[in-house]
Amino acid sequence: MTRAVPGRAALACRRLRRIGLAVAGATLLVAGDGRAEPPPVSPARRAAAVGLAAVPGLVVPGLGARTVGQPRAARRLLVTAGVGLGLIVVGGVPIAATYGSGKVVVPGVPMVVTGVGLFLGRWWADIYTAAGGHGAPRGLPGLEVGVDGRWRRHPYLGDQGQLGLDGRWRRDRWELRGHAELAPTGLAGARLDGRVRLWAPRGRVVAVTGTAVDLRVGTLGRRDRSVDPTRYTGEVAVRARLDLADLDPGLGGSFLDGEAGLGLELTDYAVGDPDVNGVLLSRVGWGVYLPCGRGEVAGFYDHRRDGPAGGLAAGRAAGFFGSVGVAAEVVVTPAWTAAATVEVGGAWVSTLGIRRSL
Amino acid sequence: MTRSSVVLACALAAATCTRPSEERAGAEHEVGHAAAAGLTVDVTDRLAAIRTLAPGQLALWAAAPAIEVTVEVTPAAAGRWRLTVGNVVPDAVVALDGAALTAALPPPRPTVVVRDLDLTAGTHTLHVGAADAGAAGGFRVVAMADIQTGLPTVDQVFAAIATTQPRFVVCMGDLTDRGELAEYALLEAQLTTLPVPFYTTLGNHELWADSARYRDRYGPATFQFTYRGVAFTFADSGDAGLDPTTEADVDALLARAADRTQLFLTHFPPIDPIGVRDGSFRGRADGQRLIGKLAAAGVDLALYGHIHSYYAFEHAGIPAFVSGGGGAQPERWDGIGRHFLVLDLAAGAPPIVGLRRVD
Repeated sequence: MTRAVPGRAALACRRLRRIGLAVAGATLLVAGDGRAEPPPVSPARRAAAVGLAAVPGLVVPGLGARTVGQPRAARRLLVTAGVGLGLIVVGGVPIAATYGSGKVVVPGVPMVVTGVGLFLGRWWADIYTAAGGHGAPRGLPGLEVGVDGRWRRHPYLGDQGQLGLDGRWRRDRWELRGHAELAPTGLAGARLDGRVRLWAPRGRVVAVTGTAVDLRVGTLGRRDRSVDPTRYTGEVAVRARLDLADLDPGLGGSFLDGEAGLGLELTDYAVGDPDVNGVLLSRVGWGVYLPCGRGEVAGFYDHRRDGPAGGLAAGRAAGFFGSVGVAAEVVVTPAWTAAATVEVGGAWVSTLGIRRSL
Repeated sequence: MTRSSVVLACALAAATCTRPSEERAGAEHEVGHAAAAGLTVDVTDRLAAIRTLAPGQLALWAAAPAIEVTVEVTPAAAGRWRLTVGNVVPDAVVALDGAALTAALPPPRPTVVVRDLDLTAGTHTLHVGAADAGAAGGFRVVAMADIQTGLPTVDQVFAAIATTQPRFVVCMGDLTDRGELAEYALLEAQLTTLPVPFYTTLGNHELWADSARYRDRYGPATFQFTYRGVAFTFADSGDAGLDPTTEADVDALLARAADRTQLFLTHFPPIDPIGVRDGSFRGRADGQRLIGKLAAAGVDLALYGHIHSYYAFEHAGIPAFVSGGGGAQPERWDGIGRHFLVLDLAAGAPPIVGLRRVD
């Protein structure tokens, strides 16, 4: 008996159905993960919880969660803060003791950055929990294309506008992202990222934004103006997300992000020999899922200083810090997702884009 | 969400600034100009700090082996003025309108000249400094950086420097630890032990306090002088980068010396030779843009501080050195400690750089 070969549309429908099933499965798993309904909390108690979480909560982890009747979540936040402090000490003491020896920068700096991310992230998570925040991971489409506009205010280069073209493909454990930056003078930059999901508690499908550990391999090329050096970078990083609901159901709705890795950068000057330099990748973030699977908003610190934002002008600590920023993704309709990022380092970089799933 | 994003953006705007050295870069252009007591003083290329301008008294601190000063005198100010210039080469000559002046007093130390000027109303030109600045031939210079907490014992470094018999010392900044007045006073005292002049830019530690403290004492942080056909270009990178005004100044200075043997000196390395450490400009692309300009201008040697160790490397094919061994807390596990660089230079010849340990 012969079987009819399905058409492209049917295949797409089947793929979407599969993704939908995966998302639904993941959601069911999340929902059925023993997340207890939070106990009823009076507005006054909630206000007090937010206040406690915000002020003394910086140094006393979990005060907000404890006040709204989530003692186990509070204990988990305490442990998270302890791990963060431990990483800061273990990574930071050798750096301080050797006065920045290149021999201890790796893994010292990523440990410190991750430690600070955990220490501060659990603080903000406690405030969010105290405020009654909620939300859950969402599913991602298998194929997306989009455009974005980027505006950069650079102290030397002035205001620069760029148009970006974006493409993302996901299947099972794999994801491929491409992005091209188009300036009025032509192609200003391009990057290609491949990811493979190494681990996730509910299956390793990349099309879910929950807890996971990914390996990212990327390559990019960029130059600011035609007269400036052209830079090519290859990089490998481990990127992880911890959905705090997986730490404790009472902490649902927010997440911690982290990335650590290394890169090699080749700089091609108009005059003179090219240079090759190492790049340290270290990034942390804390964010919240928007309700009803409508996306997410996250604040981040990125230690790398080779991006368009560069590093913060940090006063007395000039030259040590990377950039900070806020990134948001909002599902406008099931087919359309809007994305916005504001990143501040030596320059301000704002990006606004839209993607369509196919 | 929209409101919280706006609040966050405003908070970030208040907490961050992309031109932290804008005011300093502008103030730099006022160095070497002053008017008081009937005298208007204008130092060519801002190569000196005017430390005192009071009736009958003009005191300068030279930022170059040879300086030119234009003085406009009002009829009321005509008469005898006592000129004191610090930080000069030991055999410095002083000439007023082309006529050499003899010493008014024995100098307190080799790097100071004192002359009495009989000024008439009108415009006069003073030349102070090394008579051989325009001559040919090789010479020796010492380069150092990062004194900071080593200030109380930097006289030991200066003593070691003196044994190498340099014509002068160049410094890539971080003279003090916190820019405190007491530290500047101590530095002034320590410099009296150095028998040759000390030309410097500032580092990030001078910015722990008002940068005018540095500027009022030592003059410009972004400047250039030429000695025996070799150009020395200093740049203020104290905030881990160049302000656009400074970068434009550097562009002009590099272009002016493009046909000469040229050294470039600044505090922060544009790119850390240990790339993953990033002890360098706050934007890597900004550092690479500067290196590209150095290469295009044909810079022969680049000297940096900030990292308290010694690194010899190249960027864009330009020989480059980090030498932060002036006494600040040293980087460990590098086996270097306090040190300085001995540079043997000559116009048209590649610089020869040697490392000299102090301890």
